[in-house]
Amino acid sequence: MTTTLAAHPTGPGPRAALRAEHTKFWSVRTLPGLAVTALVTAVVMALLFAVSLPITQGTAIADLAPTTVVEAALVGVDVAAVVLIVLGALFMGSEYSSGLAQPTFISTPRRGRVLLAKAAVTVVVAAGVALAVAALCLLVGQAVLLGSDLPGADLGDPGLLRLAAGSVLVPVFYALIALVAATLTRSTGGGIVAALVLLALPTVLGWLPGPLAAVLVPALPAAALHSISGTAAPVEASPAGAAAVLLLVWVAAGLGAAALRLRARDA
Amino acid sequence: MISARGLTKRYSEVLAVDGLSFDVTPGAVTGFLGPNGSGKSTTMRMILGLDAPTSGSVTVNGHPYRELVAPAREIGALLDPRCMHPGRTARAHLRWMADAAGIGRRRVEEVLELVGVAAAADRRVDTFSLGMRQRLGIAGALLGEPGVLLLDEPLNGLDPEGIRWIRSLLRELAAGGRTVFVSSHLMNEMEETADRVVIINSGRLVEALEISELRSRGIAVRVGAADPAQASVLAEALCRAGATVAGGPAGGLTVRGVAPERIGRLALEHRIALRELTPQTHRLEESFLELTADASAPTARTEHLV
Repeated sequence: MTTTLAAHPTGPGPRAALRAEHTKFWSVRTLPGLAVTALVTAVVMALLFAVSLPITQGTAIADLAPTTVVEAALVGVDVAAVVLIVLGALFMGSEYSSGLAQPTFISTPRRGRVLLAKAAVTVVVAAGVALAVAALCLLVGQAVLLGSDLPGADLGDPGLLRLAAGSVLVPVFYALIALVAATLTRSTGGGIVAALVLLALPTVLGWLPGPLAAVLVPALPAAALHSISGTAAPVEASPAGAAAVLLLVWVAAGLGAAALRLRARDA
Repeated sequence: MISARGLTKRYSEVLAVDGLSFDVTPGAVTGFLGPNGSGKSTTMRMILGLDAPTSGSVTVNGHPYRELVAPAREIGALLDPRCMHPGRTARAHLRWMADAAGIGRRRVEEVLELVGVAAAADRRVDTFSLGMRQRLGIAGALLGEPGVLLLDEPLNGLDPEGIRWIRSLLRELAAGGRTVFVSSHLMNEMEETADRVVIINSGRLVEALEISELRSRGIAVRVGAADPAQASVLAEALCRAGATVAGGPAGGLTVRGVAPERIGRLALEHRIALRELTPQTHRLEESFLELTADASAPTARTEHLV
């Protein structure tokens, strides 16, 4: 026999890995449970943010601009982000804590595919939850206004819609970062901490001397997210297009580093 | 077919696997034997592409594992049955594996039946005993109907019924022409199951041989020439054939390393009548312990990098 034909010339491709991770996600209680938790917590907090405005702002709701009330409710999306960070980190971290990583990487030896598949599932779930949360937050804000016998906000207001759309990106981005960080640290906790640190970093860097902060702060994902949603502080602001590119660079760099690490290290 | 060539794995200062070369051939159960910590699991992890060799190579059907196009259809593996998500049901565990391998869901039901877990398919894995997890892990290994099976200590934690089941399954798979590679640290676990054994110690190959050969090698045979004067001639012939011969009273000899049948033939060739040819019962476990005793040190062998 001079030539050996491969017994199986075609094998499972990236879509097989995607199907596997999709099946994994929906076949445990914790991950879908976290998605529901994100939704419920965010809406409850949106209501709290809106009705507590008289306390936090020291002004009666009647004296606030209607959009201010709805904007306060939209902070609920950031609450969803924190829960979805846990989801993203746990999706990869539980592979290592339960030992599942072993059969996972035996099943899919091209480990980058596992990472990309998990990233895809995380993005779809986080985006779905975030969209629903944003829509519900708008409604909650409006309901608080109408319930106080006040005129509602104009929900078609471009500034408000831009804020809502930009807010949706926050949970999606940070859940993905949590997944990447959990891959790099091989731990759920590492993923959560890293994503939260990145979330809080603008505040910390803000304490740095002005020139240093002026260089670092605009490079952070928070600056890009704020620029997209139209809420950027002067030090953060960049055009929405440039901000979108900056976010993509963060995602690509994170996924690239995690994929390289997966490939190089013993599983 | 699994082929290792100069396979070596170093973890910082510990040389876990040291220049291993062996072949695991189809149609037989090959036992992979060695004391705990001798490098069996590390070798298996390298076969499956989980750990990269420091040097040397190991291939499955001619290819490094990570280059296999459809790994699940070439080789099925069970390393640690505890490595499953506790919150997933048995069926869901097999379903994601089938998805990853591009195998249909119908096969999941087949392997559940095959390993006898079908009745518990919708129970969460955390309610499973170790034995049931072993069965579930074996179901996963069989999903792709692979030609090569690799199992790390599959008899650990099994009750006698489970052990019987795995043994007959392994025999069946080998009889069907598959390559079956099973590790164990206990010779007596392999004695009735394996056709061949690859024995390692401290990461190094000790022996790779047929189990019948090991059996005959370990046996001490008491041999007596009918005419005590011919004992020395017989002893000389046996030594030339590779035996170790010790003298006994009245021209009796204790012979090791050559099968009784061979001794009889040698005696015939030299026209020496025998009055005794008695194989002493000697358990394989003892041969195994003898083989692995020499090199084994109380602690893992370390080599310091200067």
